[in-house]
Amino acid sequence: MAYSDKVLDHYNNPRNVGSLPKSDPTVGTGVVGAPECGDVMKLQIKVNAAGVIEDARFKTFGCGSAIASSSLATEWVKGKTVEEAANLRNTDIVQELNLPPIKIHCSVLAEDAIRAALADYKAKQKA
Amino acid sequence: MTVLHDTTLQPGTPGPSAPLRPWVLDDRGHVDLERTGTPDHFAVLGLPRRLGLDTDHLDVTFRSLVRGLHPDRFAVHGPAAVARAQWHTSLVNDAYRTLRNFDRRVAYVLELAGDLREERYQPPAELLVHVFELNEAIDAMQDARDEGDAEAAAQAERDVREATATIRESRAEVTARLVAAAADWDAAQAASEQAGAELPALAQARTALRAGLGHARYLDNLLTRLDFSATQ
Repeated sequence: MAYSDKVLDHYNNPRNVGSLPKSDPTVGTGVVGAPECGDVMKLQIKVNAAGVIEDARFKTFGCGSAIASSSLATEWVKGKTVEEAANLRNTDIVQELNLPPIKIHCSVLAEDAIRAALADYKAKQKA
Repeated sequence: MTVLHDTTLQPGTPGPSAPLRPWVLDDRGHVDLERTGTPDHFAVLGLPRRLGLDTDHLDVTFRSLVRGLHPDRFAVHGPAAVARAQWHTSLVNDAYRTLRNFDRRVAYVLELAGDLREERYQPPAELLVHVFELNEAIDAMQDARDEGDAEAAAQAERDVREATATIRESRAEVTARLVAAAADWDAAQAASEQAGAELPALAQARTALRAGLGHARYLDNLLTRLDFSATQ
């Protein structure tokens, strides 16, 4: 199976790879995994006082599509509000990266990772 | 259109016969695959639908069926009979391959209930964090080796080995949970057969099986990656 050019671009030049301080109250961390393939993905967001995601980082152990999906997800959530980021759908990732049916679960994983990071951030705000 | 029963297919076969449901033949006397459909693996091997299964008995049954279906035995009955025997053999092979392995047997039972892909299994959060750290340790090990830093590589190798042992322990625990869930499923299946309707306990047992299987697959994939990096 050949990867699309966009997947290859994100795979070869992943955006926003790395970590943010996990204990920072303005940082939300989501770690998710896909049982189908054993992939694991960590996605973090840093939210400013206005509720805007000013930074996002990821690290993914998995196939090219999983890396590309999470790289794209960090690009997309940056500059969005927490509410806007929650509206991001895996189908948007599928379309942008032209993922084949067998790799759709990678985009689902990226969506799950965003949700998990948002949920972690919100839980920290309440605490 | 002729409908045949399995008794006509196994002339003089010793040992257990497979209580297959009738199949539909086309006008050349071959099995019409589309109209016959695929019979249940348990039925093909003449076994009750249970997860608890004596694998020695299964091996004996399998060998005896395959011997009885050898094409040479059917040559005198003509090419259509040989083709039927070959089709039957392929069913027996599929059934044996699926049911011989415990995890595959569990997956098959879930598949029969249409339950296998219904919902995605999400591994527990602590496991994911553990998996993530383990992957980082593997990366660190490979980086240290690439850079020729023997001391750091040795330390990273110890970390990975330790983590691998922990994962193997978790896999053993998951297996034990799956075996217990399989016993629950068997009891619920037997009770449902007696009641003539599916009891709620059966669906509950399937939920436990599905969770256990998802967890097991996740750990197996991880162990494969660990074995692979150990050989690098």
